[in-house]
Amino acid sequence: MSEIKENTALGDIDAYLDGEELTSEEAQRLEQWIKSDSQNADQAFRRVFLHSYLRQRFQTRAISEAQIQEMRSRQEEPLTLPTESEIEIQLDPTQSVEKQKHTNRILTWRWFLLVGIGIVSTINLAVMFIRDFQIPYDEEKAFEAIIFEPAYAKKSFLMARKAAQPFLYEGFDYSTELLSEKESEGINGLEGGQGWSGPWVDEGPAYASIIKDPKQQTTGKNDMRLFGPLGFSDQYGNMLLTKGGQFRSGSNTESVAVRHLDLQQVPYALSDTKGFGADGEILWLSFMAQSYDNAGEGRYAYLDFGNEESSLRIGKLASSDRGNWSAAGQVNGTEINTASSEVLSGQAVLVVARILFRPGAEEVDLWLNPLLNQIPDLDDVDLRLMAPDLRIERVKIVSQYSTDFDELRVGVSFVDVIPASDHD
Amino acid sequence: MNATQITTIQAESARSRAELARNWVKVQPSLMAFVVASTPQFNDAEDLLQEVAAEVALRYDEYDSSRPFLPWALWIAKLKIADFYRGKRRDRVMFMGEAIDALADACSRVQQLMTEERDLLEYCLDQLTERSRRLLGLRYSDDMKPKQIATELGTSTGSVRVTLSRIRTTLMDCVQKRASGEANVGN
Repeated sequence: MSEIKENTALGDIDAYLDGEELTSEEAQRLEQWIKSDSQNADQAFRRVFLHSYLRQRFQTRAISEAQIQEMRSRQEEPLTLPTESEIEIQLDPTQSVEKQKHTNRILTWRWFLLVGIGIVSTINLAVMFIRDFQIPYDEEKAFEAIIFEPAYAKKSFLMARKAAQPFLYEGFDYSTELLSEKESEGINGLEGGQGWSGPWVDEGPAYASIIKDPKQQTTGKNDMRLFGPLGFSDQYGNMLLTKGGQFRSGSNTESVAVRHLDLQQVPYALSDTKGFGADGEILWLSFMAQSYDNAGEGRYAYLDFGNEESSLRIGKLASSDRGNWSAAGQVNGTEINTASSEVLSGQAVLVVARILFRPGAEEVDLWLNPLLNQIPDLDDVDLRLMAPDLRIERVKIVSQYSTDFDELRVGVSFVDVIPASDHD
Repeated sequence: MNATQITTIQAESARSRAELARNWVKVQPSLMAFVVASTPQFNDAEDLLQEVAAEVALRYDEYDSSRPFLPWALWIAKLKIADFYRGKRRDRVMFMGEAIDALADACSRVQQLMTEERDLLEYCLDQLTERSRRLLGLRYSDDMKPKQIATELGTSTGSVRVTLSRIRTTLMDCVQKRASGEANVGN
């Protein structure tokens, strides 16, 4: 991407603030220019400040003698654009002192108006403060659940679900023809779903695969996946929508499949300058999983959300001896804060996770096999842990014990990641 | 709660209100500029600033008065901007998306300077020719976009855009020259 000069950058800011749409290339160049040097950022902010100041200044309609003259001439003659030489300001020290004296008189009157407006705003703010906010802010109250009538709550929930969709999705829905024609090994090159910047990269040494019918593709009589493809229905019969096949990791030796997110498709609010994971925001994700059996003792197969420095791991973890479904943070390759559930990893599970991005460590809440027709309650979490500061750049599926994963969804609300059928 | 305790709470509350008002007046122009950068429609920006003001008042108890007020207020502004875009549409904000933190830092750095330079800006505005000021009036007082101004004046949008940009650069240059001139006088 080519660098831009200050004049171009300030021109772009002007265009943007004058209501023009910048092309994505212009916007990126401008971002780069602002971020590359603090002096550039200062200049950019001064320019924005100038726009903001001129808007406020002209909106106050403080009328100076010069402006009265302008109003007269506006009535008398039509405006034409000033020439380049007309725009120049010649600073003559003697004239400016004299002019300054004259201006001071006008300024007093203008600033009287501006200060008046400031005082009124401040009084408004104070009145607002006195009237509405004298009761101490109670965070627990603010986040207290609102109790709706059941019928109304159900209707609202269903309406929200109609409009919901994840911004990142992988259903491993690949046709048999595509898989048979594919020349690369493992899941290399598969690029279905949405929200990704490129295809899966299967790093091996063992390769993952896409399974269509687990009943026909079991790896032994003790394989607990032989009952059928991954699916989930809650105790009221609400079913999670699923598509196509499912991901199966390698066994015995390690398989590593990686896919990067398209950060442009991540909702703006979730991003900051460091990437995806802005403090104060909440992210939801869900997926289904089932391992070959319940074995633990250092065996692992998990999804890893983050980057190489820090991430959140969910699945069968080496740091959980029993091998049950677990979650942990990862910092520089080490699992920390492991939290294990009572659900055996040979059992199919629907994992729903909520990540609250906070300054520093993130709060992660997980529910295993939750009800699909209501937002799960924070008091009923199955696992809760603190994860290291996350910046999610990619999803990695790492395994050395054959395990299936399917229907990976990431969104900004529970209903985004749980698109159940209509009869709930 | 006895009468002394009530009086103490009332006095504390009054102090807090006065402190909030003082802090707000100081940072309001910079915050407005920051909000304008993220929401170039001035009307939206003004609405958003009201929301920031309400949130600042609501959460003022959380503010640690031993630390600077502006960065804390900017943090709230960022949350409100995020809410605004989440509520309205999910598009990335052009140019502010990645640069928002750099601009927030710049806002904290130059805030004091901008307050001092406002007087100079007023002086420079008066030095402009009548036609330049009238053009600025069309843009900022009548809230017309360059395309509308071009139609009104019977010229091209490009010419209006370039002329407005030159006037703004002239104003900034004038402020910097005046500021350095005054600094030299002081030396």
